[in-house]
Amino acid sequence: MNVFRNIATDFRRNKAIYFLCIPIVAWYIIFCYMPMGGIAMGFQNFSPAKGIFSSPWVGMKHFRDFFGSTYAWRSIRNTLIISLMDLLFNFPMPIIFALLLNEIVSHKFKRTVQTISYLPYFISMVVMCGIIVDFTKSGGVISNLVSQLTGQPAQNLLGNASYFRPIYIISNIWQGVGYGSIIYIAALSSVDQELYEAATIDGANRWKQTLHITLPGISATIIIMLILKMGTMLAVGSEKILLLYNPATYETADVISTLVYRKGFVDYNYGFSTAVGLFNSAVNTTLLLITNGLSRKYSETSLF
Amino acid sequence: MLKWKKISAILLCLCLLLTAAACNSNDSSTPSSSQPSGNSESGESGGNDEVNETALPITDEPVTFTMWKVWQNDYIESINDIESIKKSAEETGVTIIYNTVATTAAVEKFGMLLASGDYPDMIDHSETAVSYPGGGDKAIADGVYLDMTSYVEQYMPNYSQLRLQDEELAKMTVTDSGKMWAIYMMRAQTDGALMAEPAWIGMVIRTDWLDDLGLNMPVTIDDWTTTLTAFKDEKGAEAPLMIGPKGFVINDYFASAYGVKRDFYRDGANVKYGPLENGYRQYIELMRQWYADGLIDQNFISNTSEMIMTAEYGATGKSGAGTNMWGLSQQYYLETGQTEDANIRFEAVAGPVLNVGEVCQSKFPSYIATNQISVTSNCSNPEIVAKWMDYQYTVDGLIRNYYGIEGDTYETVDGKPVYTAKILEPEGNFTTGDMLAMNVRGDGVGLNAWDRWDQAYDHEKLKAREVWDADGLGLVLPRITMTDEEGLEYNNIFTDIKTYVEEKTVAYIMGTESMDTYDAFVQHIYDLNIEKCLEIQQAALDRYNAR
Amino acid sequence: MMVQKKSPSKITFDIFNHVLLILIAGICIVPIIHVVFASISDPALVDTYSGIILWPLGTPSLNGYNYVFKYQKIWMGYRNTIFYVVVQCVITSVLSIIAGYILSRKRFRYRNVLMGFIAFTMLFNGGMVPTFMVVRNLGMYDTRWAMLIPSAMNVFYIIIMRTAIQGIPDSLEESARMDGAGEFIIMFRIILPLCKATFAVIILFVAVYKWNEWFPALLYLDGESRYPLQMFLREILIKQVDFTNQADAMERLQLYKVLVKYCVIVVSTLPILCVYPFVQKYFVTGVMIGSVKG
Repeated sequence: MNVFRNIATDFRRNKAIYFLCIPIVAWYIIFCYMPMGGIAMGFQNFSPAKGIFSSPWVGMKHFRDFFGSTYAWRSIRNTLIISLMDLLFNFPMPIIFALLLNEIVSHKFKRTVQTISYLPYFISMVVMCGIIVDFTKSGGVISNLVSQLTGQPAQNLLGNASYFRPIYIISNIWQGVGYGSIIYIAALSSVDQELYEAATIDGANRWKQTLHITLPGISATIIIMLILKMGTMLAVGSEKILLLYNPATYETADVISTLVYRKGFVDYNYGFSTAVGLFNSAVNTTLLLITNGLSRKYSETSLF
Repeated sequence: MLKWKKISAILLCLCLLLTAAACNSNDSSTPSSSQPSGNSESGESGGNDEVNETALPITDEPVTFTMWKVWQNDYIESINDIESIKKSAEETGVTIIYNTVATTAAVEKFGMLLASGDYPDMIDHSETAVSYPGGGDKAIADGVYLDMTSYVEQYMPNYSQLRLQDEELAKMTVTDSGKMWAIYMMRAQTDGALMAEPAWIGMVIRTDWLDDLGLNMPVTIDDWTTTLTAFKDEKGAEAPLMIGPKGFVINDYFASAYGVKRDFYRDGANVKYGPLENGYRQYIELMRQWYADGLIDQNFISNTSEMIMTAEYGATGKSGAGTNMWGLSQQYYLETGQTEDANIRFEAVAGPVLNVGEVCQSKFPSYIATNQISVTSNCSNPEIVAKWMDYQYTVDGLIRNYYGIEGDTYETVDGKPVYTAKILEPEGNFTTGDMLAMNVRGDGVGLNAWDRWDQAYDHEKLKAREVWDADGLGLVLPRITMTDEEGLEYNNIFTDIKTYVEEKTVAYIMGTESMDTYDAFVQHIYDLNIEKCLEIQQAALDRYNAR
Repeated sequence: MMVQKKSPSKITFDIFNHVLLILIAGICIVPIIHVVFASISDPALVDTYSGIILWPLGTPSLNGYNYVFKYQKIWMGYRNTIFYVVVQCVITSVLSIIAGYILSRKRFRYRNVLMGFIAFTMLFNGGMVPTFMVVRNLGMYDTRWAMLIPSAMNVFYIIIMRTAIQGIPDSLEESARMDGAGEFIIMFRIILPLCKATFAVIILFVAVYKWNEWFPALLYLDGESRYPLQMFLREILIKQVDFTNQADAMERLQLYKVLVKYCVIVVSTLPILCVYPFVQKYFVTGVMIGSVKG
């Protein structure tokens, strides 16, 4: 009862806010919480014609099927490794890029580089993967480069399982660094210029300024982006991998989403993909909560 | 400043919203109202005794039905706008409104369709672009599709007569339990005679090179080794033979010479699984050797498609043999300007065998009964639908569906329909295929006049089909179906087996894995429960044979 | 702007920085060059060429573009996409500001609950089928609303908006309220101008996302008349990859198909690239937040 009284008090104080809440909450209920009932499909032998209410229940069968697959653990392992590599190598890139751009004085140069850098993001995945395949074929630009560096004859890099992850990550960086830096550039623009002036007067060099003014200034943004990223660790996208992988690289390239695609897409086995999706969500949530908790403890920023 | 920006932004939005509203009201395509045609024969419903003659119009009161179909065209917005379709509606009194979806969206859309419960009257599975999960029997059991058996018996004499002409055909058109879950489109000639389309895809080889090197068409595996080596050594081909990304060529040629295919195949009345047999090992060793010697494409694993040798390799002399369609054989690359080599010539080559005198037992299966059209439980009048569908199996129906309107898209010459210049010599950037797509209905329920292409395309090229058709079907499994439970279980087990086999096959061929592990490889397949899968496949085959 | 004496290390750094950035720009521009030059190359040669196209093959021509612009559906796609982009930007940005504002008000006791309520949806969702059923039952199937409403809110935008608003001192709101301002006035006349950069980012992100979006169209739209541009583009691109029947394969006999693929990419990407320069000016360093000290 206490809760209701508290809500009432709060309401009286913040009427306008509560009214503003209505459309937002309503939207979330209709488009997110209601469909969440679909999670039940993960426990059913779902048939589109029968729908959620009439499809037979099979309990944990889909989960058993997934984890019972010879490749389940491999796919989880690959997903985590790729995600981690993405975090380590891809996450800092847009930040560094934004910082480097920030040092440029000439507006024109800055704008040109910025605009060019964010172009690759717009090349559609199919074409991008076509380019990657071409570069890494035996005879392609990158494979020739690699062969010179390693002293081995040029080979089809996408036919070698140990090259898959680097190719995947590096091409992610290539495509995403420009577009990803936009949000950091925006955050940089809100760092108070007077702080820089004060620091220069105090004799700090640019590097020290970056460390003590710039980075803290955009730390809120960085942390939020990091937390959000942790919430998608298991969601390594399948479209790109599907276009790049092949049986020679399954060992390192087969991730959860590609395994589900092969197993669950036939015959509209939505139940299976829902079940695995649930598993993904559970893990992602845990990671997100942990990161959020840590950041709340050690910094002022957190998601909630 | 801000205020003005805000106002103009709001005005802009309002304008767009209004335009959108206006656009919306024009969007829905109004179904063409069909008037009863001035046919002398009054609409007499009920089948005629005489086959190939159906009374038109089929119904006095014009009726409209909806059909879901996978169809897309770059130039016209709706298939319902096609003139010959409208004409057909006029003549028969039955208008079909096609609900079309794009090929790339077909699978998802079909799933949503089933989920929504809002079925149209008919569903055209569009050459198995979509299929009911669980199969035809389940569709009927679920109450989604109708069992057409009684309708076929009563109202579809043409269709009945056609399907009973051949035992295999009769089997193909029913489910394991003998129900008719769909009406099958049948491949035929323009004169109405049923005929399966000959294989339209197979292997081609550069015969100009063969001539230069003084070689004959390779027939045995040994011939092929010699030929490919010569291509590499003397013609400088980087990738003498193109193979698909999984390590196989179309129709599993070469493997078929050893009596196996890449997965399940037929041995008499039994189902066998390729990788378990000795022939598979021989095939892998062959490919492994060829890969090491540089006789097959070193980048095969990155090829996106099994089906066609790309111009990149074929036209440039990088490759001398691979999979291709008849339309791209002969001097196609020269005609399109993709090469300057005036001598280039690709010709069809039959499937290789182990010893002289044998015939390859694997070819591109071409069935008479292909596309399936089902009638759903939402259909208010299956009787008229049945009659309408039956009409499509007459020659008149065929001509309307594939040739269009007389005088406009075809003329009758010696009693046969011949396309007009509008179709055969199109203006602008359009091809014959485009013109046909814009003027006639094309594939769907009824007879399929595949020989219509003969008028448009090069007869030299068409000869390729005969070569490919000469191969046999001994190894190929017929189109068997599994029950719903079988299907789920099978899929669960087999996906993993398939992944394993694919990985290992490619590793063996590329040499990244030593052949010493081969026995363990086969053993592991058994460990993964391949026997259950074989059981299921066998049961399905047995049921099929018993139909 | 501050005046700085350039120390030698600063100069080295500057040179290094410029060179590095030029290198990065160079790498980024490679796929663009490939696509653009491929689109004006000779169609026959594009098909047979292995590798990256760094200069137009054969005689450059605009044939591909002529072909594309005769293709009526492209115009329809453009119209639809522009509509979706503009309307979605308005809807989503307004809702995001409102949400971000509410969530940043410390006097709102349950703001964390609301945040949790919203963020939870990021992690669990029912998937394609149930959402489709909801949309269908609301009568939005095959309407433009189906493209706009189900994607109206995005947790990410709400969060970054909230983060930006949290950086604005409370004193501003207090003084405005004392002057009698209502919530809307505070939101749009005080808060918004101070988060111009973030607001611009959201608009940009929504615009880009909407421009590239095709999946809701695939699910919720029937008639091609409402299709966004990317649906048409996708059909052209995907059709290049594999063929499963003779009709598909025969289509490939059309030489222009490969060329058209590149032309369509250029044609569909160009407009959205032009949005960025407009948005860029909001990112200029030095927006004087400091000057608004209470």
